[in-house]
Parts: sequence; structure tokens; C-alpha cells
Amino acid sequence: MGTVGLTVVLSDFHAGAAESLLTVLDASYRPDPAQVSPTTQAFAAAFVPTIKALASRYGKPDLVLLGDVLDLSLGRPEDAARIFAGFVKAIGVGGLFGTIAFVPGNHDHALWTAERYGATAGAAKGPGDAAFWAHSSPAFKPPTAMGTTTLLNAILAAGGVSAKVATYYPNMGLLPQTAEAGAARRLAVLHHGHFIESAYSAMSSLLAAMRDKAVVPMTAERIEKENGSWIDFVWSTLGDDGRVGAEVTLAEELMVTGGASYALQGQVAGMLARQVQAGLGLPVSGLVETWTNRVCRGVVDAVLGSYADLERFDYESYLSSASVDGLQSYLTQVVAAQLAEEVPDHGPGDHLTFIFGHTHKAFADALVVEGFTAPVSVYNSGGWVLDTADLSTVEGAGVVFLDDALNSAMVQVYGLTGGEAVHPAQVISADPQPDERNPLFQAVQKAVTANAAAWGTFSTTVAAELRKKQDFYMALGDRVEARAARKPGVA
Amino acid sequence: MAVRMTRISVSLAEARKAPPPGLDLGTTFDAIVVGSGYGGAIAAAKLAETGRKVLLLERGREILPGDYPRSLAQAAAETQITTAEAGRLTTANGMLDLRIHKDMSVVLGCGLGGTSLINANVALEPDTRLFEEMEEGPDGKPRPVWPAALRGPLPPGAATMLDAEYAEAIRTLDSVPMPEAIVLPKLESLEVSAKAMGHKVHRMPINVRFEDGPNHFGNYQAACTLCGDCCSGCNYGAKNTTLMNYLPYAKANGAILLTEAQVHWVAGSDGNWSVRVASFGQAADEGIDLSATLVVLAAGTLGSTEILSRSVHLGKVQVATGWLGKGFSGNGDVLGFGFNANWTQAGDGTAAPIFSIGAGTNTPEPVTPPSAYPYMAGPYSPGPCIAGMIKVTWGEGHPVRKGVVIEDGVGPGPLSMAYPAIFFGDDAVNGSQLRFPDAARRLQALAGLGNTLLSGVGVESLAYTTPMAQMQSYLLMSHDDAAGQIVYDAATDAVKVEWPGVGAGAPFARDNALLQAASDAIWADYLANPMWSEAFGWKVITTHPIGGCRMADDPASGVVNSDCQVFTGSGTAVHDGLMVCDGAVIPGSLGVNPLLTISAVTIRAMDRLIARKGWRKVTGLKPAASSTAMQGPPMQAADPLTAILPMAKAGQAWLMDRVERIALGPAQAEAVKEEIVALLQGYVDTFKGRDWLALEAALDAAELTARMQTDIGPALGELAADIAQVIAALETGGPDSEKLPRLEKVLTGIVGDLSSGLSFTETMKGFVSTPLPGRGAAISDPYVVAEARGRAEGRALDGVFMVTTADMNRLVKDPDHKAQLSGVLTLSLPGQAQPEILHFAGGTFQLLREDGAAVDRFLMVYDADLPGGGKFHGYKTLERREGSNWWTDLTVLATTLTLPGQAPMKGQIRLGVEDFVQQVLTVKGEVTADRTLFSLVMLVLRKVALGEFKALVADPDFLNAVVRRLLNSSYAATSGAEGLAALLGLREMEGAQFFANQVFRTYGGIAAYLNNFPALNPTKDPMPDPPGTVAKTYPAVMTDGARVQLTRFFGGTKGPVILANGFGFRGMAFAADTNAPDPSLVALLVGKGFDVWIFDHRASPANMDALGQVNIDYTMDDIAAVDWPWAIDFVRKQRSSDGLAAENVQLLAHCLGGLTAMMALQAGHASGVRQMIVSQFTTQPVAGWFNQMKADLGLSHYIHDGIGKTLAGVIGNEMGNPALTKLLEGTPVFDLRTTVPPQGKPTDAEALDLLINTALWSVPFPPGESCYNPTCHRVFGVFGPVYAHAQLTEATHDALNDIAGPVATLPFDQLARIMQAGRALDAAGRDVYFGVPQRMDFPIHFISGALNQLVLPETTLRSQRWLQEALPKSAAKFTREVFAGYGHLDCLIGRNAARDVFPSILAQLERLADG
Repeated sequence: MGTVGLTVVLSDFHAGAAESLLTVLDASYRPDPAQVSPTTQAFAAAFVPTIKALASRYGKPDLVLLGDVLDLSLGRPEDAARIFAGFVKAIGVGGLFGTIAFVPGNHDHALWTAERYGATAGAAKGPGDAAFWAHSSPAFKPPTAMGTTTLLNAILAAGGVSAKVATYYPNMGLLPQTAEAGAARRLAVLHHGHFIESAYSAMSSLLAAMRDKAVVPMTAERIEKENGSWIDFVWSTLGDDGRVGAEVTLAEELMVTGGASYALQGQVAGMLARQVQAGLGLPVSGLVETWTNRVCRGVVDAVLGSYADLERFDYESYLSSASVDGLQSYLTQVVAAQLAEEVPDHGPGDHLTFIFGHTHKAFADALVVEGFTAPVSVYNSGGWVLDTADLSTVEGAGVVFLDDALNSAMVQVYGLTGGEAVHPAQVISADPQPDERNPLFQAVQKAVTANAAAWGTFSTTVAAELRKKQDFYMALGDRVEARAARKPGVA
Repeated sequence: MAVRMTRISVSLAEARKAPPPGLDLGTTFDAIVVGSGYGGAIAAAKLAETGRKVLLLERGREILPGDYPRSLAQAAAETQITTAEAGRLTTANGMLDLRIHKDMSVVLGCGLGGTSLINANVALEPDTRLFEEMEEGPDGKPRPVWPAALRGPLPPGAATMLDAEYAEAIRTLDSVPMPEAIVLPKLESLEVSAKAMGHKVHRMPINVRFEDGPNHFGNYQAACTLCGDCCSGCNYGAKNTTLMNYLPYAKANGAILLTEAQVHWVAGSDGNWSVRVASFGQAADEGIDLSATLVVLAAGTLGSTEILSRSVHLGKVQVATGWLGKGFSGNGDVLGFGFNANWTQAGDGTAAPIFSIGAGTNTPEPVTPPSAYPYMAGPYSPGPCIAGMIKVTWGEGHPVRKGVVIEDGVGPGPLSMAYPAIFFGDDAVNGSQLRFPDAARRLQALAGLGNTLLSGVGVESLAYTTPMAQMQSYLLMSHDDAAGQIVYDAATDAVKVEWPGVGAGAPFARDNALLQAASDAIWADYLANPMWSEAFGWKVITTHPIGGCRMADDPASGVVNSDCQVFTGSGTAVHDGLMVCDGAVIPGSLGVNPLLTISAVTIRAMDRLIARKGWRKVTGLKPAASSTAMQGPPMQAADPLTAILPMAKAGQAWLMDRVERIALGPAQAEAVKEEIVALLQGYVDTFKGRDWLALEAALDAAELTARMQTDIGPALGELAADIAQVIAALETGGPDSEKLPRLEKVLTGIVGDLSSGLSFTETMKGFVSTPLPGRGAAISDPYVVAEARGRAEGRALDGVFMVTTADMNRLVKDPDHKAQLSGVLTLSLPGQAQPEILHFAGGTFQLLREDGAAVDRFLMVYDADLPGGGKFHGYKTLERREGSNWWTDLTVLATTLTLPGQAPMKGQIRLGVEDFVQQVLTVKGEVTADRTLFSLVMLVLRKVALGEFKALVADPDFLNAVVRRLLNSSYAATSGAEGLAALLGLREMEGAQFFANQVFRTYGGIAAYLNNFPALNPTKDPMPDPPGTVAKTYPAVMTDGARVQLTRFFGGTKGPVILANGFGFRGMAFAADTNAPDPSLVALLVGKGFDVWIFDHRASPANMDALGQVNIDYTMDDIAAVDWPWAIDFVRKQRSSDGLAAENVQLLAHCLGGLTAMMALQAGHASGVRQMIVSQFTTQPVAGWFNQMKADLGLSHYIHDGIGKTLAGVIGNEMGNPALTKLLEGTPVFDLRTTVPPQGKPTDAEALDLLINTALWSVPFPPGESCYNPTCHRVFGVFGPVYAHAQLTEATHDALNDIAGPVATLPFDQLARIMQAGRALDAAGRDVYFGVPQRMDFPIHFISGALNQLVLPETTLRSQRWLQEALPKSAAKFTREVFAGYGHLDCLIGRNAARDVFPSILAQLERLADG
């Protein structure tokens, strides 16, 4: 996008959701949008001087908000807006960053839809004209050529930022402003990450099944066109009905606690059993009833229960093999098609850095991807939420940095370690050159070390805040169990 | 009846030495025909009929019926292998010529008769509409595939322009359908498939004689014996090869046939041609030029294209090259197999045989036509290779290119020894045993096959019995797009087929799906060509290569015109006298076997040539006369080992004769001495120089002082007795596979260990790079990433590895034995002109040793020090895991290369299929002979001179050296000792068997699982007393009659700590030493000075009575109310009597132990606990879905009480399985142990065991965890995921049978209620355990595995929170720890538990160790 020396990538704040580390909960576990969370405060104390230290070398950096900034599914929109505005203010985003770009995710996808519709109605002028606001946007155009997101502009303004966010969807691309002679050409692509999971392209799969074959290669335009409404429906608008905190979706309830999911399974099975008995006109007898109940419960356990377990234990690994496959196919299809269109002189020998969030598990690695000669450097910017009652996961958050030559590095600001401990901030890299020859890695490392005490406080704060989120889940689980009337000894 | 043949050719070498009458190699022939398949033979015969002077050149040998291979060794000797990369790998001029290419491999015939010697005889016309086919031209516009002359317009009534020629070919080749009277099971099975697919089976004409008598050309042929070996050469003279018809007819009419004559190029121009021909295997410049006015290239699709391409390359001839080599088609060939078919679909454990393996060395039941028909095939009479076909989407109503034919097939009998292992492995790995409802039968059949293979006894007959006899072979033909190319490679001076990605595209997926459908219809496991798979890169093979010199109207589309004349390249002009007549000219796939079309096209080309030239048939043409009838059965080959027998007998007789004569008296003894001296003199004279001098002197001395009667005579007698044992071993009946172990046993008894050595060379290629620190762990394999980086950066690493061991047996059987590794690495770096070449020697190689650190994983390890201080390390992993495959496992080497002063480079190097073929050819089994012949002879002579010969022959070491000398393969090969060579060959198979066995163990699916390999592993007690202590056991009987016990390991006064395990597992599991050198939990605590008490409550299998019965019909409440109070009390009393602190105890209780301990304390049944560590399961469990499901289904009730005798009987009876009835009747106890591998007919108890194991095969494991240990499946089936497999060592996993045991089934009722409720309830379902939390006001530490899917980690969190909320003042006493990467029991017995978990437990216990 811009021509500034440094780009900073953050994602997945899920502002407004009860489980977000940006959201403060009251005694009855309802979000209190008036408060700035301890995590936000501790982060600001460590992050701001770190960025300032880097700015002294690189100039004022650009900021990319890589989706799920607001949670419009699990939080009320007004709460989300206030909480994120509080965060923006606490960080001092306006003074800290130059250009701000936004790549919507699944939980704030409705913002993209809104702008798209607004543009179609002629509300958007200039760069964001109607043709521009199609299902997807270009990735490699400068921010000045991009449309903006009205609600986010307003939130930022409330947080003291006058800049308008340049909005890219589903991918944002960066080309190097400077390049080392003789080195491979570098590119970076940023995407929220939902499209690497099959659930978010389920409508495309359904269409493919109906057509008897998939459209290959899938493009950015097509994947959004086919799935956008579905994403809005399931992940991005439910918060609007206001029943947040106490009541969440079935899928979310399944994940709250193991006990809650079992209680819910019982409820679902009971409904199923009653329907089976009525629908099939089975004779009314104790034996028939017992067996119908048992079989329905068994089936629901095997389907819903095993799904919930799979999801729950999925947080133990950085990326499931299905998601690795999804990532590969997103790169070989959607990203490759967009590169071919927008960066025609790109070739398979170029080096690609791909940054995504969405999974809430920050990591840096390289991946061998068909169509790219060199392994693709992959960063996940993690997330600022706890997704289940378990702290024994590898969830965590990261801040990804890119310089004008597209050297890359990440501060893993916190991370669970699979047990229940929280590891402190650490600098890692997926860059193709060794850390000691990576000027950006060196600079970030130096800036983090210089602010080690503040980062230490941040880790401690996050550890305590995560415990509170665990409390919230346990309480929520108890509530679900109570509602499902799970009584001792009653199957 | 059999045939007697006379040769009709001479070899080129013979002809150059002494030309046969009528041959002048210097003359200009009217025609030289190159090749002797259908094209060559027809051309030669047609030209000979006109009186032309014809010379036919064939690169192969003339091999006559009776001399075709029958055994594996003979087949190997008749096989040529050429790979695209390395060129020719074999030197013999064998009849089977395999061309292994990257994308499509090709099978060719080589011999007088060409491919007609090894084809499957099918004489079919293609769909007539094919000749009107259009294709897309280079300009994108459609153009006809076939030249105008063959397209039409058709004369009235004609189906094609080749009608007359097809008719002539059918007549001359004696093509007839197999008589209806012959009934073949394989054809019946094909009919079942056809019916299921909505089609019929057609019997098409085949070139096989079904009656004795003269053929069209007058040559005698015998009737088909139905032996099935059409494709390895018909030994009975029943197959209508060109060797039986056109060629002897041509010969009878003046053609001269030269064999072993390889044509390198053709040179010249119109009417003035020369042909460079050399003996097979010789260089071109050793050959001669022969002249002719007409040259007909009929050397086959690859052969003719190669000769033309090479001639063009060398500038010998000018032809149109635009299409030379292009338009190659594999004729849509697909090979596939329906294995272990049960087309009779009998549920009674039997299945009708199909018989689709040729007779090989066995005698087909003689058939005397026609009176013996109808004929039912037996195992050695499967019938002609192809007898019928199904036409799928074929003919009018379907697009012509959608046409597919499916034909039955027969695997060549000479390979019968190899099939069982191949198909067993393929089926175990790729078959789906549970696809059809007869799983029990097919599994038993497969297991039977596996057992025989593993034992090695009786392998000869396996190909002809169940389940091999229930195999249908299929050959399918369809249409490809003929986009392959035959490329001449000047470097290897050979052609290769290039067709990138052919196998991954159409029509192969569809065609395999069709074969799958055919196979499904007969209830068979469909096994595709194993190379047609992702792991191998979808490689395909064709037996019907077509194209390369395709015919067309002009050079813009082809190489020859419709009359097979070669275009000059100038307009549509053709050369006068240069023709191509074979499969090369066919312009696209035919969709049927091509021989008839090749014949018809040649007939047409020759007739038109003869007409053009105005030649006429001469009068008085003679019939073919190379074959006559012969009485008696044809010769059969003997078992190779039997060949040793006459040698041994002759030797023994010779020795006994001398012994007897020596005994007669000094005069006779003197005569014997002279004989022996003369004999020895012969040996001595084979030496030269100083050796000769030394031996001569020794011989003189020996002759002088030999003591004939006291030393030599008895010594010879002893040797004769030894040989007698060998004779006895060989004379007892049975096949070689039974004789070999007997012979080895006898030889070992006489001479000690005779283990043989092994060597092979492996070539692997790949890329390496310097991996970046911290990368490649989260979602990628660092070796894969490093390889890709290396490829991108151009850092190539090639390795040639030579592996040698003197003792193959040890390499295979002793996991610690290392073979020697030497070789050379070639490292090419970017910007470096010359690659770095690193020779190394003295490295080590380990063959598939068990990786103790993981379950079901084997490693092949390569290690070497490099010159200058570098190091090479590589390993291959044989392990089932997501996306893995046995082939990639065995061929991808994870590589680390460390060069001095540089960061280590990692990457992967790979063995390609072609290199693998090359590697196999380098495998040498060799008995090392340490002693030279000189030293042995010298030793004998010296001992004779000293009168110590008798002592010498009684010395096993001496005899060992002699036998080694004899068995040394170089000696065995040069001495012509076929039997010895065979002995070595059989021993080499042991190595191959080992590989097959390991692959089976790792990838063999349910078959390998049921084989229960862990039960076959050698066992030692996995739970010995920890070092420095002796167990003291205190068994006791509770007031209610239940047996319990405490076992004490006194390590010091700390504690006491009581350890209790879960349901069905012994407490001693905590003392298992299967993670050595890491200590067990018990060993650690004892070492730290704790007084450790293992508590086996009533639910532990340790409490067996004398009859092996465990406690049954108890509740959790019983354990809480009775067992725990007793245990705590007993320990305190014992401590007190020992004079030790006895106020209270520390507890570490796992799973059910933890649940019941908490119940005991919460209910106030027990007290006196100052600290407790609860592992995983508490009074507030949150179960994983599998246990939820079992609880909700009420399974425990049915397992305990059954489903009722009547219903159980009905179901068992219906399924024909009495064991099932027994299972369904319910049981009070279920044994987690199983030791039964399926061998022979199982007893009732074993049948029940097998049934349970089979049922538990598909028990749900967490993703990526499934193992092949039946005990483990029982454990997971009963309890759910008891451990994360990744945390277990192989030893611990194998020890499950010792650690786990029988469990009572009644307690599961209460457990289910507790899991449903999420809290401890009493057996009546009452909530009685939570009333007085104050009883728990002491330090409690909870531990959970983060991956515990049996009871979620949330379980301990709930209990911790309950206590903290109930006792807020004591909240700090209730601590909890979750271990990343761990499941349930593995927290306490995992391979790294001593590192990851024990320190935390120890710290907890140490904190309050002294009360």
C-alpha cells in the first residue's frame, strides 16, 4: 500500500465479545464498554514505546487491522464500537501510525457488506465507486485508491484518529519499495484467514457438489460472491439482536465447557427422540421410549459431541492439517489468481510472505506451496480472546512487522504453551533470511528488549485476565447446564 | 500331444563365421526386413512368396516351444530392463523387454516372433467408426486421424477399407474364439461382472489352437493345454505366434532369418539402401553393412522409431521428421486385479476359485480335444490368457472414443512365486477388507496367506490356492489422446517415452473405476496397478505401444503414407523402398488389442507394393515345416535345489568307494593314494608361480607321509557321513522352500554358522539448504521446507550409497547390527562451477530398526563421517501417518549434511522408481569366503603330511571355510553349480521378505492388526522391582470377599505414599521400566527415599485368584467404602509396627483410583490423608464424547447382561458365527488382553477373541493415533483414549498385555451414571458424596493431560473450583497443573513423563514428604 518504511499488522481483537481481552466484564459477566481493559492498558504501556523506538528508525509506521477487530456476532455492535474506540484511544493510534488499512474478517464482515451496498447505492464517491466496490477489492492498489469503512472511520474518530481506513477485501497486497540487488522479488499478501477454513467457503462447496465439480481456480471475487451472505448470516450479524453474553449461538455454547456441550447434546437428543417417536408413530411403551432415547443420545453424542471435542482439542495445535490444506489451496488458487491479475510480472520464483489471523494462535513458519518455487513465509497474527474454558492451548497474539523491503518479523506478545502457562513476549520470524541478517528482526528485537519490563507486566496481566475469562466460561457453562436441566443421574 | 521344433534361423554371429547355404552377406538383397513380429513376418512371407531374395533380421534369439521360462529364475534370466535415465541395466538378450520410463513404461517382446511370443493372442477389429475419426490439427481445425485411403468411401457392403485384409489375417493366423465347450471359472466370473455392469461377455477370436494338427501354413501345432502361460511363451506349441506360421513359411520359401542381429541404422536413398547390423549387445562399429533395394522396418513401435530416429540423428537418411516419434499412444491400456474374490458370495467360509495364474513349473492337466470337453479348469489350467471380453460403452449409440473393452487375464506362471507376496502386501495395504459382508472369510483367507508367506514354507503352491486362486486379472483397453512422444536420447543411444502427467489424466481414473465396478461385482478387492498412485506419481504401463511413425496423407501429419512408405520430407514424396510396417504406423489408439490391425495394415501395404512392382506369387510354394508332432508329455523343470542331489550322491559314492578300498589293505590303499595324488595334482596345477611351487612341495610331502589306513581312510569316511546327512535332507520330499531350512539346519550342524552377506547400491537425489532457526515447526516439516528452499536456491545433493554387510541375517534380525556404508555425495551449489564431491567410507547403515521412542515406527539410518571432518546423517521413517505411504516412506531420506565450518544443511533426497529398479539389480547376496582356495589346499596337504587329516575334517571351522568357498556366489556362478546358485537365491529372498514383513506390519491395515505383532515380540517382564528394592506384597481379602493387595517398595522413610491406578490396570504399571533409561515413577520415588506402596484395589487385574479370575460384580462405592479405608489403615499400621511415622499418608491416585479415593474421603469412609495428588478423574468428571456415547447408549448393561439368550442365538446362527452368540449372551468380565494371532483353525475361545478384535478394529481413535495393537484397541474400546500414542514408547505399548487385564463389567453401570451426571453418585444413583466438603480440607493437587479426551481437563478444573469455593479459606491448598501434549495415563507412564511430569509430582510430594 503506502510508501512508508514500516507496516504493523494487528488482528482479532474481537472487541465487544465477552471473551475478548479488550472487553471488561462486570460481576454478572456482561461487557462493560465504559472500561478500558487491563490488557489494553498493559499492552499500550509496552507497545507504544516499542513502536516509538522503531519509528525513530523507520518513521511513522502504517497500521493494518487484519479483521475481526470488532465482534459483531458475539457482541453488541454498540459495545464493540465503544470498546474498540477505547483501545484506539489508549494506544494513541492517531499519533502512532500514518496510514491505516482494514481487511475485514468474518466477525466484522458485515462492515464490508454495508459499504458494498452503500457504494452500489451511490453513497461512495471517488476511489470507492460502484465498480470498485464489487464483491472483492484490488489488493495491490495504494490506500489512496481504496474505499473506506464508515463505521470504523467513526470509531477511530471517537478514539481520536482523523484518518480514514483504506479497506481491502479479502486480500491486501504489498510490494517492496526497495529491493536488494540479485535477491528474489518479494511480495506480501495479507488476509484475515477465514477462507482457509472450509466452513467459510461452504456455499462454494455446496455449489460445486451441485455442479458436480468445483470451479478451479477459485478467485477472490468468486469466493466472496458465493459465501459473503453466509458469513454475514452466521458470523457477523447475530450480535445485533442483543442477547449477548448470557446467550450465544448453539455452536458457541457447544464450545463453552465440556459439561455445557454435553448438556446441550442431551437437549438436542431429547428433541430428536420426541420427533422420531412422533414422526414414526412408534408404539407407546417404556422399552421403545428408552431405546429411542438411547439411540438418539448416542447419535447426537457421536455427531455433536465428537465435533465439539475435535474443535476443543484443535486449539492444542497451531493449525489443523485440514486448515494447512485450506491455506495451501487459498494460496495456489485465490492468491495466485490475484497475483497473476494485479502483478503480471510476478513469477513463481518470487518470494511470498502471507499474513493471516483468525485462528487466534500466533506462529511464524514457512510452507511449501504448489506454484511457488521458494517456501512461502507464513505469519499468523493470533488473537486477543480465549476461545474455550481451557487454558491448555496454544492461543496467543502477535504483532507482525514488514519493512519497505518486505523483511518481516513478529512479536508474539503473549502465548499459551499447551499447558496453562503464558509465555512472555518474544520476537520470531518466518523470513527467508537468517535472523542475524534480517535488519527488521534486529530492530524489533532491540525495541522489545528496551521495553522488557513493560512487556513483562503485560504477560502477567494477560495471564490474570485469561483466568478471568476462564471464570466467565465456567459460569456461562453452569448457566447452560442449568438451563438444559442436566440433573444428576438422569440420562 | 506335444510338438518337436527345428530351428529356422541362425544367429548373425554364426552367419558371419560360417554363412548357411544360400546366404551371401555381401550381396544386395531384394528386401531386408527388420523385425519378426506380425509386420516383419507377414512382410517377409509376402515378399518370399514373390520369389524375392529376403533377409530377415531379428535382434532377439530363436527360442522354441519347450524352452520358454517356467520358473522365476528362468524368467529373470529372460528379462531385459532399460530405464529412461540409465539406459540398459541388463545384458542378457531375454525375450521380455521392459522399458521403464518416467510416465509410461512399456512391455516389449524380443525374440524370433517378436511380441507375438508374449502377447495375449487377441485378434480383434476395432470399432469401424474409428477410421473416420477426426482430431484437432496444429491449426486448431479438425482433420482426419487416418489417411484418406483407409477412410473410404467404403465399397458397398464393406465395414472398413481393410475388410479383406482383416479377413486374411484372421485366416492366416488361425484366429478362432475359444470353443464354447471349454468352461473357465475366470470367464464365468467375468460374466458375473458383465451382468452387474449391464453387459455381456463375448468370446473373441484368439490366436490359439484348440486342436492338434497343421495350421494355415501347414506347420504342426498342438492343442492348448489351458496352462495360461501365453504371455511368458507357449511351451506347448499351441499359440499361433509368427514363429509357428508366417516365419517358417517364409523360411520354407527362401527367406533367410538371422537372429541376435541388431539393426542400428538404415542409410541410403531410393532403392539403394544399406542396413548396419551387429550382434545383439555389440557396438554398431563392430557390425556390418548389408545392402538391399527394399528395407522394411518392422522392429516394433519403439524399435522402428528408434532405428529411424538414430539414422536421422546420424545423418544416414533424410526423412520427414515433423512427426517422427510423436503421436505415441498406450492404447488406453490399464492393468488391474480383483483379489480375494468371492463371486459365489458364499457365507459359509468357502469361495469358488477363479484361477488366473499360469501353470509355470506345474503340469497342466492334459486335455485331449475334443472328447474331454466340456472342461472345468483346475489350478494349473486357468485357460488362455485372454478368452473373453466385456464391451463397455462400445459401438453404435456411444461416442467411438468412449469405447472400452475389459478382458480377463492370466498372470504368467513363471512369476507364481512372486505373486503371493505382492498381492498379499498390496491387498493388506490397499484393499478394503470390510467392503463386503464376508469380512470374516476374506480376513481368514488373507491371514492364511500371510502366515504362509511369513513362515516361508509351502510358498510354491500359494499362487494356486486360496485366496490367490480367487483372483481375477483384468486388462482394459480404451482411448488415450496419443500425445506421448518417443524421444531418441543420444546419450543412452536408446529411445524413451515422454508423456508428462499422462497417468493423472484421462482415461485412467475412469478406466480404473470401471475395473473397480467389475471387481465389486465378484466381491473382490480391486487392486489397481500399484504404480498408478499418487505416491508413485500415477505411473502407467502399456503392453500395446502404438505410434511414432504414424501414417498420414502428408508429412504435416505423419511419417509414412497409407502404404507404409516413408515420406522423404519433400512434399508428399516417399522413399522408394523404405517402409515401416508395425504398430508405429498406427495413428492413434485402437481401443482393442492391436495385433490384427497391425497385420491387416501390413498385408495391405505388402499387397500394394507387390502390385505396384508387378511382382507375382511364384508357383510351387512350400508349406511351413519347422514343427512336427511328438508323443509324450512336455519336459518340466525340476526344483533347483534338487540339482544338488546328484552332485552330493556322486561325491558320497566316490568317497565310500575309496574308504572301502583303503580298508582292503596297503596295496589297495596305495592305489587309492595314487588316484588322490593325481586328483590333487590337477588342483595344484591350476596355480601359478610361487603358489604352485609351495603346493607342489606340500603335495610331495603329503604323498610321502600320508597314513592311508589310520588317517585318510577314516577321514574320508567321516566326510562321506557328513554328505549322507545332506543327501537325507534333500531326499525327503517337499518343495525347495521346505528343503532349504532342512538343508541349512544340517549344514549348520556340521559346519556351524553359514550366514551370507548382502550388498546393494542406492542412488538418491534431492536438495538441501541451511534451515533457519525457529522455522518449520508450527505447521511444516523442516526437512520438507529445507528441501524446497534448496531447490529454489539450486543446492542439489546427489548421493550414491553402497551398503555392505557380511551377515545379512544379523542385519535383518539384530536391531543393533549396522551394515557398512560407503559412497559418494555430490553437492552442487549456486555460483560454484564445479560441484563438491565427497567420497566416504566407514559409515554405517541400519535397516528398519524399531524406533523405541514411538509406537509402530521403524527407522532406516545412514551415518557417515566425511573427509575433512564433515558428517552425513540421514533417516527414512516407515510409519503410518497422515498422507504417508510405504513407498515414499522407504524412498525419501531426511538428510542432514554438516560440512566443517558451515551451518548444517538439511533437506530430502529421494530414490526414484528408475533408480530403485537399478538398485534391485545391484542387490547381491554373497557368502563370504575368508579362506582362499590356495590356503585351503595347503592346509589339507600339511595336515595329511602330519597324519592329522582326520582331525582336520572333524574341525567345523575347517569345514565351514570349505563350504563357504563352495557357496561363495562367485564360485557358485562360475562353477555352473545351479543348485548352489539357487540356494543363494532363496536366501536372498529372506531379505526381501523382511522388507515385505515390515511394510505389512506398518501399513497392513486390519490384516496386520489381527496378526497381533506385539504378541509375537519377544517379551521380558516389563515391571521388574525397581533397582535397590525388593517388592513386598500384602494380599488381603475384604469383608465382602473381594481380593485387594498392597505392594511395598521401601526406598526410605519419606511418605508413606500410596499409588493407585485406574480401572483394569495394574498398580505395577507405575514401576514399568519400558521407558529406560528414564526411571519409572516408582523407581524415582524409591530413589528419592520414599516409602512407596502400590495399592491394587479390587478393580485392578493384579487381584487374580488361582484360576485367574478377577473380582466381579462390585461398585465404586465398595472401593470407596471398603478398599481405601483398609489400604490407608494397613499402611499406617505397618508403618507403626516398623517404628515409622504413621499418622497419615500421601496419596497419588489415578483415574478410577482418584475417583474412589475422593469418594472415600468425601464420604468420610477414610481419613488420615495429609496430601493427595489426583490424576485426571475426579468426583466431577466431564467425559469425552466416546464415553458420553457409551454411557448414553447403556452399553455397559448389555455387555454385562447380554441381549438375551434367544436373540443372541438367533443372531449368532444367522451370521454363522457361534462365537458371536457367546459374545451377545453377556459377560461379567471382559479381558483387555489378547495374544491370539490367527494361526490355523482357531479354538472356540480364540474365535471369540478374534471376533472381538475384529469388531474393535474400527474403534474411534483421536485423529492420527490408530495403531495395530489389538490389546490397545480393546483398551480404547472399553475406556476411550487412555493415552496419547505419541507419548508412549514401543516397549510400553507392547507391554499393554502385561499392564492391563480383565475388567468386571458391572461397575461400568455406575461409572456411566457418574459421567452422565458429571458428579459422583452412589450405585443407586443418589447424590451422597458432596455434603461435607470440610473433609477435604488438606492439600490436593490435581493433574490433567491437556489432550485428555477420556475425561476432559475440565474435570480437575471443576473439582478444584468446587473445593476453592466450598473452602475459600483453604483455596490455596487446591492446586492444579495441566501438561501440554499429554493425554490420560501417559502423564504417569509416558516416554518423557520423567522429564515433563514427574518433577512436578515429586516437588508436590517432597513438600509434605515428612508429614
